[in-house]
Amino acid sequence: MNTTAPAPAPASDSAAARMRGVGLDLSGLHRSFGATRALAGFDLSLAPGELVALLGPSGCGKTTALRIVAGFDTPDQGTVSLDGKDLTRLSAAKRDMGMVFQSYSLFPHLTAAQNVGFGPRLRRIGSAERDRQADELLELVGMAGMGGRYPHQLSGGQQQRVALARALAVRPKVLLLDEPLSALDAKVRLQLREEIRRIQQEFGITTLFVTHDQEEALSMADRVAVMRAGSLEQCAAPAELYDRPATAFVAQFVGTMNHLSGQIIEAGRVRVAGRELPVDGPCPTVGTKVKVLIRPESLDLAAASAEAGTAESAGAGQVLMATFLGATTRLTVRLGDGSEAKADLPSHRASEFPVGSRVDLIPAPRPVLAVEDADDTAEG
Amino acid sequence: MARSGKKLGAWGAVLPLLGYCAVALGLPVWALIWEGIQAPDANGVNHFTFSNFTTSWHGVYLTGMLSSLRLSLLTAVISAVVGLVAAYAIAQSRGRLLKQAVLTASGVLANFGGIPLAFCFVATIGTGGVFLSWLNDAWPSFQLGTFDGLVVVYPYFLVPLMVLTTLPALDGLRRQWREAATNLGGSAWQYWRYVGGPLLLPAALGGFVLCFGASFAAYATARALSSGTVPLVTTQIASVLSGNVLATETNLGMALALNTIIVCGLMMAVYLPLRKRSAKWLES
Ligand SMILES: Nc1ncnc2c1ncn2[C@@H]1O[C@H](COP(=O)(O)OP(=O)(O)O)[C@@H](O)[C@H]1O
Ligand SMILES: [Mg+2]
Repeated sequence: MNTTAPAPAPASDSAAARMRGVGLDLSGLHRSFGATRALAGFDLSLAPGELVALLGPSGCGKTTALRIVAGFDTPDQGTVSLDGKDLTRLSAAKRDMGMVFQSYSLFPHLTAAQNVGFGPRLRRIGSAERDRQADELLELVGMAGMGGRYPHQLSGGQQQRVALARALAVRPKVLLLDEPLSALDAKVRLQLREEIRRIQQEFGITTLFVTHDQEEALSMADRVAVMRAGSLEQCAAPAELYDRPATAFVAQFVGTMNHLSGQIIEAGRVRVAGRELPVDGPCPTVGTKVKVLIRPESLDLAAASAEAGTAESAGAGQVLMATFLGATTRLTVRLGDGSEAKADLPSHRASEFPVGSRVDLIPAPRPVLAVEDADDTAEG
Repeated sequence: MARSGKKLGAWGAVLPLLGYCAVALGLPVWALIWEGIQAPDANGVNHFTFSNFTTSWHGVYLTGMLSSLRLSLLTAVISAVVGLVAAYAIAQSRGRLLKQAVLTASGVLANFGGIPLAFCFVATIGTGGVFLSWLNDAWPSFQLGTFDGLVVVYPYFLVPLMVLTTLPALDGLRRQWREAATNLGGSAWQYWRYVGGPLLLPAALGGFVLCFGASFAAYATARALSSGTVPLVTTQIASVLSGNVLATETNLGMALALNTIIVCGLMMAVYLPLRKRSAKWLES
């Protein structure tokens, strides 16, 4: 948690107590728009109080899934249930779900406080109580004292804070966020990321957070659900997703990934950059030429050996570029076959390999994913 | 400093336009006032007097003013309601092409008043035409050249005007607002009551006021259809000015014209702030 942030507003303890997380289940969701299959058998379960990030490339069906959960759209097939109760056909107004949209969703003719008080007002809560709640929630989202401002007097980040407060004001059972930070500057985005996470944990509210930004997903979520072409590819904790991607798609989509040429030399073993490594997951047949997926931090470098240039040293290459990242430096190496590899080294070590120097790649001796060379997009 | 310099620069750019407006609009208004407060005596010498204005608010001229106001109010209400419903239907439709077509057509139709419209009714649809004979069956006393006739004809150019002024506002209503209201537990009715309605109100009122003004200032249609038998301020001005009997009549015409300008000016004074408010909400 951010240590410089003020202690959580005391009044929110009572709010948190009233908001017990509930489990959310999406199962077998199908949705087509004409010929476009937006969802093709999508399943996902959220444990009570959990924040799951729904991650995937643009157009893979994230928004469609979220809108079905919120009740703005109905699936052709499949169910949405909350705490075990099926609410697929329940109207959106009765679902008790708080939604934060990508942008521009505040009512422009109402002040920040009136926006936050909108839900309570529909629930016939008196204006004094509404104002008190609005003040409390605005303080919680870091907008204390700005309740009187209109949306057009607020920055994009401030508007999203108010939108979050508005969603929380109805004490929703589930919080849904559809790329709420994507329209903001990088700096505001980072800050709001932490705050959303803090508030979500404070309330213990089950949350589905849609994003196409893998860094955002990995840094905020309890689990990340990677989506591809309308269905779930893998759902796992960030570290597991990063270290043990279930499919080549996940491996390539999450984090930076090298694709090194290799060959299967015996069942479960691959030869790459002059080394033999165990293959993780499904292994192509012996003799197959493969792409071996290795993270930049799992690649080390050594000054080129004397026999550089011989057929045997497939891992030999030349440093093309050095990108300083702070504690580490990313070295881009051009290999003998013309492909490039990225290796992250501690910065003090990276300085041993200036641009232009000849090096050998040294993959860390860990299990790796290997996919058939011919078809990068084949299912893992 | 740089800021105030910039401001001056911006003003400098509109200065020629302001100058043009001052001359093109200011001078005629000044002339109206100047002529309106004078009247010639028996010797043809002009004197300052308020008698023109006094006359312009009495007798037949008062009748004309009241009848103009009544016609404008009636046609503006009809056109605002019909136009708003039409604009809503258009805004809901998916087709971009349809929307473009309707906007273009409205642009033309809103300026369709006057002789072309009257001609369209009298010649094309005809005094014995299908539309009119059908209307006459339902409404035996109906005639084009009467007050009722004008009430039927005016919306033909006022409804498109209403569509033109409210369609941008309806288009500006974002889907997120409706969904946010629903998500917070609101019914369709509550959305319109607390969100859609208040957001549309300025544009709808503005459109209504504009229709009122356009109806009030319309001259050619009324003239062509009724040949001046329906007492309206605009037709009275024309007959007073074209009568060229006495010089006093000219001064009276100026006073009547000034009254019209004041009414339309009041309408604009109501309309402009409404439009500004609507734009602030819907275009940010
Ligand atoms: N209302 C709609 N009408 C037609 N096609 C739609 C509609 N909503 C979504 N789609 C299509 O469904 C696919 C998934 O869309 P979406 O769920 O918005 O993706 P994402 O949010 O992951 O970017 C896209 O190909 C999109 O064009
Ligand atoms: Mg989306």
